Amino acid sequence: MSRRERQNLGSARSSDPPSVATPVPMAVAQPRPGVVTVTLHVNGVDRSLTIEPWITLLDAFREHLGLTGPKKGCDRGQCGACTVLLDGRRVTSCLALAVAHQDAQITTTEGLGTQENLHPLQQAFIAHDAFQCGYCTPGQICSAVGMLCEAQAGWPSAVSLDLTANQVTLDADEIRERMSGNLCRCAAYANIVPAIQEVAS
Amino acid sequence: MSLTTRAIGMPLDRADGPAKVTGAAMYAYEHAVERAAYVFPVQSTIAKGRIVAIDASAAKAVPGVLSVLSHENAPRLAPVPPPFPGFPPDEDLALFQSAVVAYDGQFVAAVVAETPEAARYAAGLVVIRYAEKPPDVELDANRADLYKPAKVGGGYETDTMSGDVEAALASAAVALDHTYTTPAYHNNPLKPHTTVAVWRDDGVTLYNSDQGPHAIRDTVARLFCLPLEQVRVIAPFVGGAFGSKALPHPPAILAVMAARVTRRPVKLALTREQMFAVAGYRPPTIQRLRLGAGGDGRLTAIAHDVVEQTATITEYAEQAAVATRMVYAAPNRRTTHRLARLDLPVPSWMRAPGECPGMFALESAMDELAIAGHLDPIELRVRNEPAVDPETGLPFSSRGLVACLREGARRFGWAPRDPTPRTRQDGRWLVGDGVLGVGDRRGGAKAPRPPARRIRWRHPTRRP
Amino acid sequence: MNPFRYEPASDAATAVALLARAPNAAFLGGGTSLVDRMKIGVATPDPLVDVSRLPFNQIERLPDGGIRIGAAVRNSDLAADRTIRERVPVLAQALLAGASGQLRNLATTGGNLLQRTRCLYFQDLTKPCNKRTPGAGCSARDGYNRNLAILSTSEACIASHPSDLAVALAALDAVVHVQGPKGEQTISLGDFYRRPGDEPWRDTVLEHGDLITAVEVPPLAYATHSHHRKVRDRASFAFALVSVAAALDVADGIVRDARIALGGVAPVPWRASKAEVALRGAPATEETFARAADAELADAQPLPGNAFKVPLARRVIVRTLLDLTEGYQ
Repeated sequence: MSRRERQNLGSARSSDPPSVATPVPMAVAQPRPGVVTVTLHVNGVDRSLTIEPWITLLDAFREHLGLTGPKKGCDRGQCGACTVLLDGRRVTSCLALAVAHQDAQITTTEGLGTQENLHPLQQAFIAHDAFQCGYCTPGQICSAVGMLCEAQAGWPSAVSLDLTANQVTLDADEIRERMSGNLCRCAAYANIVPAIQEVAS
Repeated sequence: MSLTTRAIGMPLDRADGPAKVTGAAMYAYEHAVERAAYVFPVQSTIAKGRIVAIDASAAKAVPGVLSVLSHENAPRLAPVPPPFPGFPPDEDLALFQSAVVAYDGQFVAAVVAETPEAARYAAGLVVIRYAEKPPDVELDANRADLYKPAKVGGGYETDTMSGDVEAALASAAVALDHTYTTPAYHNNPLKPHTTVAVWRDDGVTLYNSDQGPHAIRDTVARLFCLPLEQVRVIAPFVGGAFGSKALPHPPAILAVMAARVTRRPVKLALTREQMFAVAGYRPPTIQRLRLGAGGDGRLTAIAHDVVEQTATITEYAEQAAVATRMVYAAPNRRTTHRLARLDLPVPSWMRAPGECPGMFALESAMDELAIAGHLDPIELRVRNEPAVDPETGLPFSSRGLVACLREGARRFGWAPRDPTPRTRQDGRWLVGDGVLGVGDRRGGAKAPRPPARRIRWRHPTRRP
Repeated sequence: MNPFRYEPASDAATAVALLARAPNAAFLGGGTSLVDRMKIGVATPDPLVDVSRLPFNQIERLPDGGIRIGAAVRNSDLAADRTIRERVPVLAQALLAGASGQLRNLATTGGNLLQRTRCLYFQDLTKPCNKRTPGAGCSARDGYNRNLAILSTSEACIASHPSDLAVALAALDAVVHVQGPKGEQTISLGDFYRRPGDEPWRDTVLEHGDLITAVEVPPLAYATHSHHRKVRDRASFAFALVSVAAALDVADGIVRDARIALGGVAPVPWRASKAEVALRGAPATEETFARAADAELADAQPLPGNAFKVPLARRVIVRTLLDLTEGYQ
């Protein structure tokens, strides 16, 4: 069945729930069996890939796009080393299938800043010595960027005293809870928290 | 002559900081090579037995598969060399050299393919039939087959004995007899083990996740019968190790072998799950600690008996009781180490030297003794400070434990308090106190020269 | 992962049809559960029908005071929603206690309900597991079962359900809206999940091709007096050993009504009906709460590895109810 045929399917039901009528960009199935062409906007650059559906975003970055900033620590969404920003939100890229994110705006740690022009969080991590081996670091920084946006938007966390407060105060407990999806085996947590706190304030 | 201090004691930023925070730092797996192939191991699902048959037909039918390796077709390797002089060879590195299975999770086959996904998927299709034997995996201090290793880690004597420990314990004013256990510790650095192996006419180059390239270089050279200068190891940013990347392990050997057989550069990355079987770990311990003291808290007897596990194919003995030999004075002393050979993965280095689990047991026992003898735990330790090394009689070149304890007590605001457990609370937390001194003796690890008597001590630590 | 075809769906009917004609197909939401299981070979669907962009991403306040949550709403959006936080705090708390920030941004409401047990043996293809392979045996009974069930287990299976969201929804009498090959239906959450019995491989009553489109939370007058408490081996980012989702209606020191559900203790989100019966009409005191907990846990069948969950569950139930009672003072 072609894409056009699929789009013409579907019955009109008068009792459909209200829905958001945004057009859904979809990856295009290719004639060659198995592969799909998908376009991702990565660090401001359009990248087109023709890949199998089972390639995760993480492997797309590392094996197909030459971006080794996002790291593979567990490949199961449990360590956070693969964290990137996907349409502005932090996600574990190891569990996201690349073909399922046609047209997504993606920022990896390489897109946050360069060695000549560091992002404030990257600078803070250096200033506070918030890493040792550095393998969790790109994921920590992307996660922190996403986390700060969430806090800015007033999202509560599991340790927030007032679930309904409009504003979030990012004390150390809040930062630790919100960053709990990022593991650091070198145990640089004691410096990661103040690094994030410095940028948060 | 005055000294201009530019680095020592100065708050310097890490030189590799900008590279690490921008994702530019290259770790071993990230080195791009032309025409890379990927290898994924097949692990045994039994703990003990033999491989009877391997059916790789479904695996080979997966598009992109280049080769399926196993003991049936692997190149012959030379005998496994020791990683360093004086160390036992790790027979786990004799990859695919026999049909014997020594532990659950051992590499028994591997698939090399054009993509990592194809290699992993095909590896799951390899069917292996085993002749299984009942495995022996329970560590128990009462096993009849515990044996005494020739040496323990670091080249130390397995047992030491002086005086009459049993008589001293029997007549002690205060005595305790506690058994402590520690579980296996898995290093689990955030970056799993990875190797990129590239063969050329003039030898092989490894980009290896490695704490130091020499051991793996020497091992690869010997196993594959190459002159040392034909093995090149590049060990870039490690991604953490905690001891697991200091000694060679099977994954690196697999990458080198796969590259050799397929004549392609090969990339290998262990999954997190695989890290538990083939990257080493600190073995669990069962430690019996007996202390005897007079009413004044001065120790008359120390007995520290350690039971640990080792693998069947490679011996590993953690030197858990070695620090006990010089921490506290007592005229009657005994330290022993016994091993159980179990059908489990090979233990290996795990950060903190092998004395680490032993110090936990000893210091816990000392705190318990302080309670039993109604003494302050720091005072107890000060009273048992040895003037000379208790076993050798040699003077310490330097020793600062008492100074550390006093200074620590001052800084922590230590004051005598009710030691009864569960009596103090701070908000939602129960609060207790303890003292943990840590010590190890650094003997000369490389023969042959007289061992140096340098003692390093760390601050006592308040246990929350 | 097994090779598979990827089919994005633009509407529910297409999605359902795609599944109905492919017996091995599965719906893909955020992927945090399904893709994870595919990586370890526990799930091997083909094709994957992507429903994450279907127009089910709204949270609606209904005229009767209930709330209708689209199946594609991300966990993080649901937890941050002001209506949820103000009117049904137990729901927001349950979500915030689950997973990590990154996973909550990907996970969908529908997918969260359909996540599967975290039993180690279920996740290990080399170990016999009745939930994966009918008749293979249960490795957990004599193995590692610290995180597994103490209630409503069967000889065949002692798996525990891992979802925190589902526990809160169970306490709230939520209703699952489903569209499938046979049309639309609604299923109460209590009927949605199956006890293992003799068929532990079937977690829910859904049939192949059934697509969750929404979850509706009926109005509950005292839902603002609700709380979720989760006890686990780590302070964050870990599954529940025991969790409690509760709402309490107290007037003049007497419990008028109560809703309690437990997590981490059963193969399904566990509605503590016996405890609720013991509470209704009784004084809102610690003694009552303890009696209610005991009534609920009387049929517990713990194993040596998880026996601690019985006294732990008792304490967490009592503590949660005491906290809710304080809210009335």
